[in-house]
Amino acid sequence: MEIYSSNYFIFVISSVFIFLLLPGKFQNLFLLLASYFFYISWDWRYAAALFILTVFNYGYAQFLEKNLAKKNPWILRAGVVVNITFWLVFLLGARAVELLNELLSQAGFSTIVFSLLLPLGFSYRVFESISYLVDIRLKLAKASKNFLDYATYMAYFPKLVSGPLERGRIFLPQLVKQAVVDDDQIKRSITLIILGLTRSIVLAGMLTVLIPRSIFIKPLDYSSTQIVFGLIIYGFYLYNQFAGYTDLMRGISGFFGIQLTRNFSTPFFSQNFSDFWRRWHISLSQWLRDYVFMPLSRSFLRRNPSRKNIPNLIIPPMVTMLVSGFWHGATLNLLLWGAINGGFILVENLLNLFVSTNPSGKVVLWRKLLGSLVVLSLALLAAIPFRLDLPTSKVYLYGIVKWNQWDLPDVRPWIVMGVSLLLDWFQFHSGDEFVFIKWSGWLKVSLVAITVAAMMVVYNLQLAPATFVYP
Amino acid sequence: MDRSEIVEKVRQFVCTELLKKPDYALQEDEPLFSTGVIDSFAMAQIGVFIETEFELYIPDPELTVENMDTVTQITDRIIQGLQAI
Repeated sequence: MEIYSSNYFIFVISSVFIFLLLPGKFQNLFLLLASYFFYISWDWRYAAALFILTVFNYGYAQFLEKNLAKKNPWILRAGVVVNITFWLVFLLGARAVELLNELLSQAGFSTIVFSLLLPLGFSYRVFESISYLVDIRLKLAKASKNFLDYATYMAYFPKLVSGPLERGRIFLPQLVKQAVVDDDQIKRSITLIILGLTRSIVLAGMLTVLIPRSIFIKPLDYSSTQIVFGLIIYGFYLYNQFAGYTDLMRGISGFFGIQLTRNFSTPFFSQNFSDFWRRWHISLSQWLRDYVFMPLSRSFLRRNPSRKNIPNLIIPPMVTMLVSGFWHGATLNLLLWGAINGGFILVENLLNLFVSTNPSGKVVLWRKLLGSLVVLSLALLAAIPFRLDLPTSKVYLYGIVKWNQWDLPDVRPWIVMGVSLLLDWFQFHSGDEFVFIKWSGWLKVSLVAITVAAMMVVYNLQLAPATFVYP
Repeated sequence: MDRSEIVEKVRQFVCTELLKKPDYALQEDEPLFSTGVIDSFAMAQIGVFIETEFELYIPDPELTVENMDTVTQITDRIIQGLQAI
């Protein structure tokens, strides 16, 4: 069931309607059934894989909690290893079957007819499962004694496809208490839905058509200016589609009385890469920080507490970003993307050794703008292997550095990107994601009318994106 | 160990090891991470400092900007942890 489709619209409206009519004790069961219905609409095998993962982790959590007093680290590690193995079977299995078939074909044998696809959103489920087990071991959470609640957490359809990545200790308590959908929640949900649709359909939809047609297939057919601008447009497209998607899901989730994590916080206003990763794909970045970066950093610091110790500075950020690259897809170009971003953080850590701190925290405006520009430029360069395979990435980069021609840019994408930045700026400047709620009534109505009109234009031109899958 | 001793140890660690300004008059409620004065690597350093100085382990998911942004917050978390032992 595609997200941006009339079927999904009908599904959400009816789900909200039925949910709000049901007595509290049946609401979680309904959410679970609706979520599995949604997942099965993609592929029943996805639902089967999710169910197996859910049963295993629910049971393992009980075992973990019974053995909290035991010091053996393998009590936790075994659970984590099983989750990762399950994930790798799907992530790498499809590729392994492909390679095997190539070999069989070359050797003259008949190929294996077998398909193995990574279930939609499975990488999120695996990371959620791991953090759930780790939090129980760290005594930050208790194992859920209600299988229905746990299964609902795992399958909850607003976060099922592309996150946000939710921690069990934050999500599960919301299922235990009665859902509250008051006026404030309705206002926030509507705001998020409108923002989400504006970003993901209007802005991302327009940017899709304004990126030069085959620039990511044959970049050298274009001038260097177009190649650079194509990259910038892609960055804004990715941001608006992903941020818009998660805002839409958060808005829908609000109608079930469940708060999902804010996943983007004006990332183009970041001052450095550490700041960037606190603003971009926040739920994943926080997961990586809590379960990869911090444990590694502390482990190295215990051996040598000096910040100047080079392994302390190099290994944690590189490993963390390589894990991120792998999570996005087990391909060499994504690992390269991870390594490049790890490198940026590493360079920042090294520079911080020589730059004196500024305890007042005040930074002049030109330095803030320069910081944002540098971070955005480098993040976009790193996005080349994120978007393209390795051979095409090399060609794309060559197309930038050879700098053969200066063209006047097409103004239209810059207008769209300007609107995107303006939306962000309102939130950034006010420090309030929901600043739009405080605007006057006529302004809000006008903006909603413009958004609806723009959405109709986008749909008529068939620019609306397919469901955003990340990864 | 009373609260003022803990505050002083934390302040001294932050000023000497993280800010590299031992004589800086750091206020107890002065934000450190949220204003970008120090980075997330420094959070790991704070975690290890608390382990070494107070023999208290604070789990990684709790070492966040929301929980540990000021000397006051760090001190409160240490006291909470010590009372639970």
